[in-house]
Parts: sequence; C-alpha cells; structure tokens
Amino acid sequence: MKIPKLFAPRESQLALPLAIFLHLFYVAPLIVLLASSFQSREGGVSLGQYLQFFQDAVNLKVLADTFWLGVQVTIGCLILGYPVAYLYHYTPAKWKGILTFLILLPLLTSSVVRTFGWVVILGRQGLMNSFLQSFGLIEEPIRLLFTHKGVMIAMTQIWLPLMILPIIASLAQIDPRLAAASASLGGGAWRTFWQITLPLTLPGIISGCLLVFALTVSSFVTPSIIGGGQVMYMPTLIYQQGVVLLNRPFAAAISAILLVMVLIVVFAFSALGQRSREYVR
Amino acid sequence: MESVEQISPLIAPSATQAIPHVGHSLALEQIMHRFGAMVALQNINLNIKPGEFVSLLGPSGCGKTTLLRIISGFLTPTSGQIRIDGQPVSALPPNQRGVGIVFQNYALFPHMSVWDNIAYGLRAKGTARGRVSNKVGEMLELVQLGHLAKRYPSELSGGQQQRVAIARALAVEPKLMLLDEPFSALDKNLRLDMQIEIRRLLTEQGVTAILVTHDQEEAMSMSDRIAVMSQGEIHQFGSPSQIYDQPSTLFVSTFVGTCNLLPAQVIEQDSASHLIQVLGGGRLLLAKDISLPSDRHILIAVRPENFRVQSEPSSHCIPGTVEICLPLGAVMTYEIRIAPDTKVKVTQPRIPGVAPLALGETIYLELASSRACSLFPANR
Ligand SMILES: Nc1ncnc2c1ncn2[C@@H]1O[C@H](COP(=O)(O)OP(=O)(O)O)[C@@H](O)[C@H]1O
Ligand SMILES: [Mg+2]
Repeated sequence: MKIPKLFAPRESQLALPLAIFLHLFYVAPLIVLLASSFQSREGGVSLGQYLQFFQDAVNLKVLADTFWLGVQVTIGCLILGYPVAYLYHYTPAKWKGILTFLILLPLLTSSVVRTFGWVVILGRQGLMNSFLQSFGLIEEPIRLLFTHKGVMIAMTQIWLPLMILPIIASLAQIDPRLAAASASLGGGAWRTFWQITLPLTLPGIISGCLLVFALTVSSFVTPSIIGGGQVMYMPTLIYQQGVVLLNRPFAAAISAILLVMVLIVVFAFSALGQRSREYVR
Repeated sequence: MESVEQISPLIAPSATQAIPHVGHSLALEQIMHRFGAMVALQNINLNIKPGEFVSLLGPSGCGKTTLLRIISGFLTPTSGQIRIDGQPVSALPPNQRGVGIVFQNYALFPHMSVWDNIAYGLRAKGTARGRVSNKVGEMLELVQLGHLAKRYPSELSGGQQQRVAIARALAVEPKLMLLDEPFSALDKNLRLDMQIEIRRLLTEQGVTAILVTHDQEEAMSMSDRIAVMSQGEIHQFGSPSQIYDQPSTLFVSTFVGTCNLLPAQVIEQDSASHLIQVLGGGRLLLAKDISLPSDRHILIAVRPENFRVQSEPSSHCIPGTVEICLPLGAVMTYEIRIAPDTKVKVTQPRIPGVAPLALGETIYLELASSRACSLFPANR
C-alpha cells in the first residue's frame, strides 16, 4: 500500500494559521491540564489524583454511567437517524430543502433552550406523561426528569443531526447503478439494502457514531439540567470538583480520564472505519 | 471512410451456427415514452431473434439509454408492450426479468471481491453453495480471471473490470444481455480487444445481446443487426451492410459513414433507369430499382468511395476540378468542386506507380455502379 501525500508543501502552508491557533489555544491548555493532574497535594508529582478517582466506587459509577449514556445515545441516534437519512436520500429534490431544515433544527437552537424544552416535555405533568396517560398506557406519571432515561432521550434528540448528516453524505456517494446492478442480478430490495447499501454507508455510520459518542460523553448543559444533580456524569463531576469545590488537580485528572475514554473509542471506531474504507475506492 | 470490406462483422455468421441456440427472443411493440411533455421515444418496434447481437446506434441524447431502461424494467414506458419469448414482461420488476446489464462504468460492487461479485446473482437466486462455487469457477475461467478471484474491483484494470462485469451478468444465465456503451471508458487498443472478446463470449454462450453505442464502427464491427436511432425513433433496422449500402433515411446515410449530398432533379424515367440532373451540373443514370421519392426535387447521396474518376467526359457524369488532395492511409481523398458552391469528397484506392490527380485538374465523376447511391426527398 502506498501512503498518499495528503498535502503538497505549498498547500500545507495554508493550514498554518489554523495550526498556530490550535497549538496556542488547544494543545497548550491541554498540556497544562495534564500536567496539573499529576500534582500531589504537597505540590510534587504523583499519581495520587488518579488513584483517588479509581478507589472510589462512586466515581467509577459515574465513569460507567457516562460510557453507558454514550453507547445508548449513539445506538438511539443510529436507529432513529438511518431511516431519516435513507428517506432524505430518496426524497425528490424539491422537498430536500425543507427536510434539511427539519433535520438541522435541533442544531439551530441554543442548547439551553432545547434543554428547557425537554424539561417541559419530560416533567411529571409534562407532555410525555399526559400523552401516555391520556392513551391509558400508564396509570401513574413515570419519572423521567432527573433520571438517566430522561437525559438519554433528550441527548438522542439533540445529537441526532450529527448522525444523520454523515450518513446522508455516504449515501450520496453510492453509485445508483450499484442498486440497479443488484436488481438486474435478481437481488430484491432487502438484499440490495443489506448487501450493498448498508456496507457502503459504513464510513458514514462510523463518523456519525464517533461524533455522537464524543459529544454525548462530554455534554454538560443537558445532563446538568435534565439530570438536575440527581444523576452525575463525567462533565458534571468535573464541574463540581473544579469549579464548585475548587479541587483543580482532581478535576484535571477526571478530565484526562474522560479524554482517554473518548480517545479509546475514537481509535476503535477509526480502525473499523479504516477497514470499511479500504475497499471503497 | 473505410470501405465496406473493413466493416463486416468480426465474427463470421458461420461461426455462430455451430452453437445451439439457447438465446431468447425480444419483441418491442409500439413503445412510446414521455418525460413530462418531452417525447423521448416513439413508435419503437423491434424484433430481435434468439442469440442475435443487435446494436442501438444513434447520437447522444437520442433515447438509447431510455430504451435500455425500459427493456430492463427500471422505467415503465408510457405505452407499448415488451415481450421476451413472446411473453409480455411489462408487469415484471427488474429483478424478475432475467435481463443482465453491463454498465458503462461496470458498476462492480466495490466492497466485494471478484469472486463475490460474480457469486452475487447466484446467491440472490438461492443457488446451493456447491453450485455457486462451480459456476463462479466456470465464469472465472471463461473470462480468464481465475488468478484474480480474490482481488477487489479497485485493484483491477479497466479491461479486467469489464470482464468481471460480463462474468457477473452471465453467471445468472440471463435471457438478454444489455450493454450500455461498455467500451467508451477504455482506451483505443484495449477497446478493440474487448470488442472482439465480448462478442466471442456472448456468441459462445448464445446470449441475445443489445449493445448501445454512438460509435458507428463499433456497431458495424460487432453486430448482426443495427437499429439506427435519432430523436427517439428507429430509422432503420438491418444488417451492417444494409445500413451502409442502402440507408433508408437521409439521417442514416449521413450518420453512418461519410456521404456527399447533392441536390438534383429527376428528369426522365423509363422502364430500365432514372435519369437525374444534378443541380450543380452533370447528369447521372441510375438503376430502376433504386427507390425514388415522390417529389421531383431530390437529394442524391453518394459515398466518397462510390465515385469513379474519369479524365474524359461521358454521357452521364459530373464535371469538376480537383481542389484538395489528401493521402489518408489506404486511400487518396480528394475534394472536387463541381459547382461554385458545391464540393464533393471522393476517395480512390492508392496504387503505387499511379500518379494521384493533380490540383486544378478537370475530371469527370461517374458512379461506380448504377446502384451506388441513395435518393431522398429534398424538403427544403
Ligand atoms: N429521467 C429523465 N427525465 C427527463 N428527461 C430525461 C430523463 N432521462 C433522459 N431524459 C432525456 O431523454 C432523452 C434521451 O436520453 P437518453 O436515453 O439518456 O439518451 P442516450 O442514451 O441516447 O444518450 C434526452 O433528451 C434526455 O435529456
Ligand atoms: Mg446513454
């Protein structure tokens, strides 16, 4: 395998301003953060903060809940998002504009506004409960606000566009003649979907999953408002330790752990994505 | 332009006769198709015999692909009937028609190996595992790609990809094989090789095939019969030599090969011949069996190689002067001015030792035979 040169030298210079910006405002603070996570109480270098994190079952539960939330929201977005992307792909061009708008709508409102919308929907007397009750599906209102389930539902809606968009992009890249070829060889609609369309949209699915997972596990506003302090995730824990309790080194260590978790998932998915892209040109 | 000998089919008809006909027939009856208000196809009638290799030849945009999509079931015609072996198939979806397609870009499944691409249709049919691998092996051998079975399409050359596409389509033993400009992505040398190879493969398998092309040489060299199309209509359906020698419309005569069009008038008809006055000057005597338009004002279409050049005038000739002389390979091509506003192209065999015509020389053009032209009404 030849490794293609991504940029010619002259073109790479165009990325210089961005590179400087990222180093100044992203890499440098990250290094400072990592360095401070290794500070001991006395000011020396130690793994104390990390030991403290992993020795406390409460912290481990927060880590597990965060990971689990990421997995659930990713799966939820995939299940809801793929059909929408598929629908979009086969929508006549004149309807695509309005559909794009509807898909992007969650991203066009501020996360605070969206989240308060969900508070109204998920509350004891909220839309969700009165809807379920009026159809006789439940007798007592179910508790959604301030629960893991509620956070999951709200986050799934909020990050859905980031699953749909990459899948739309990868559907658009599939040569429509492949489906025609499949049909001319006797393949029905299901076979064409499972054997041709789905495998060829794998790169889009992987990008979507990556985005949704990374954004979910690092979300702060939605988990803190919908969770209302009753359920804790890594970002809310970081906030509590770093800003409320002013335990900066500990907050830095939690951040580093969250970062490592995201990186592990990113690498796992990228490896998968690499394999799926190899045969697509 | 080439002479008629050069454009006879690459495979002599006798070679096809030894093979038992397993092919299927196709009949198109009164096919008409409209996209919105635009009529893309009209009055399409075509009867294709089992095992026949037919080309749809016409300029880009004349409706060839639309007709293929109708035959394969991806498009429902506005009206008309399609029959395979006499059975109407209009109600069948593409995956039940048994019509194989080879696309211009081959449309191989990029995420499947050559082997899996060829096996795809067999698996879709629910063929038993052992049968699948036998058949795939057989197909790989047929297209001589056994050594590349594990490769992915992106790791193959254009010609190899095309052979995989053919093998994939043939594996399911389709009733018909449709090829939509399959050679246009190949460079010239490879194209000729693939044309010969694909014609051989399809003939060996006895498959009825329809090739879409805008390349007349390709159509001429590969087909048993050619349907020449223009603006959604079939102008002529016949063997390559019929198309070349007896074009039935003005469009066919100018689209296939090169043709000189001379405005003329019929001045005399007797039992044996027509006497024609060429408007630029000169007269020609034509055999009676050349069909004559009803109008007296006609266009006479003569191929460059069908003129004979004489140095002395005769009773039926067109006088002219030599203006341009081009030695083009096997022939000498001349432009002869026969009137202040009319020039004709004439080709003559190039014979060593015989001096070419000199520029400015006055010569007299006769028809190589009294049947070596076609007549069309001059509606202008
Ligand atoms: N889906 C379509 N909608 C509208 N017009 C079409 C469509 N497909 C083809 N056409 C038109 O029909 C005519 C014939 O097209 P096509 O069959 O592709 O021609 P060819 O294959 O001979 O080049 C063209 O004028 C083309 O613009
Ligand atoms: Mg076409």
